[in-house]
Amino acid sequence: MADRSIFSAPPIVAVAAWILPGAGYALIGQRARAVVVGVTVIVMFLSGILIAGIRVIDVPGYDSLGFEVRLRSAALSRDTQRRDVGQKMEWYDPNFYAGDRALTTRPLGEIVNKPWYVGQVLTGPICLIASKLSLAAAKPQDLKAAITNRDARKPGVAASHARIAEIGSLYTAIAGMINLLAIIDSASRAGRHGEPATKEPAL
Amino acid sequence: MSAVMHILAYTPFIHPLPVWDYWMALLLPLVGLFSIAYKSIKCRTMAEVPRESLHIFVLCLLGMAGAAAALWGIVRVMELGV
Repeated sequence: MADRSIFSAPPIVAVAAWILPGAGYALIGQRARAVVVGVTVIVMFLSGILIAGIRVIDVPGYDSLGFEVRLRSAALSRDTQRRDVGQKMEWYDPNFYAGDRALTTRPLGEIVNKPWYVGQVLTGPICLIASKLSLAAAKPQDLKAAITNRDARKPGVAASHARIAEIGSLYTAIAGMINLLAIIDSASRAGRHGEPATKEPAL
Repeated sequence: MSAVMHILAYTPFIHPLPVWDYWMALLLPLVGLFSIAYKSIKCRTMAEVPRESLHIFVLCLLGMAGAAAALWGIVRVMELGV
């Protein structure tokens, strides 16, 4: 039986298991389980990125160029349209993106648009770091050309597509879902002094 | 862009792996890793994990092959208009 301490309280174990996959088991003294679960979850997540590229982490609330999605009011849209007449569309202009942040205005809609991110983010801070890198990779390499030439508005690193994108999303999202199971199980074992549930399912 | 150019332009973890023709093989490590992680969570002792993982690994592959065969059959029947 594991030593009881403040660090083996179920909420602490759950948070630790999210921060570092497998850490929840380590806190309740199950080191072998901690290493196997932690390594497999992290390897699965990194394999997904290796297969489909960093852009497989598609962050809700951001567009394909890595910019925040803003929702513009009708009045602001009219102003932008008026300004755009007879000149190049100033999409980089702060006023162009002056609307409300889509992620805070309609968070559910943004997450429903990219549901696989829910699974991915369950992997922990490693996913948040990957999200930051993905957004940085999405930014156009030549921002100046992208501003003046609409055809040059291409992401710095193109997102993968078709089967490779699907497989990469599967790897990263399943890693997160497995980590969710590990979070629940380690917190549950912490509440039962390290013992597993009495009734084991068939599989 | 040719296959050689794709390989030359490849940067690990940034660009997608150039394995478009072998995507189905990528399911094997996924199922393997899933089986190990899942059984590490479910098993009472870690000594049971290798045998149980192998069991669920084979079951998953058989399940996917069965589902693929069933779906292929349905598509064939629909194509033939039966």
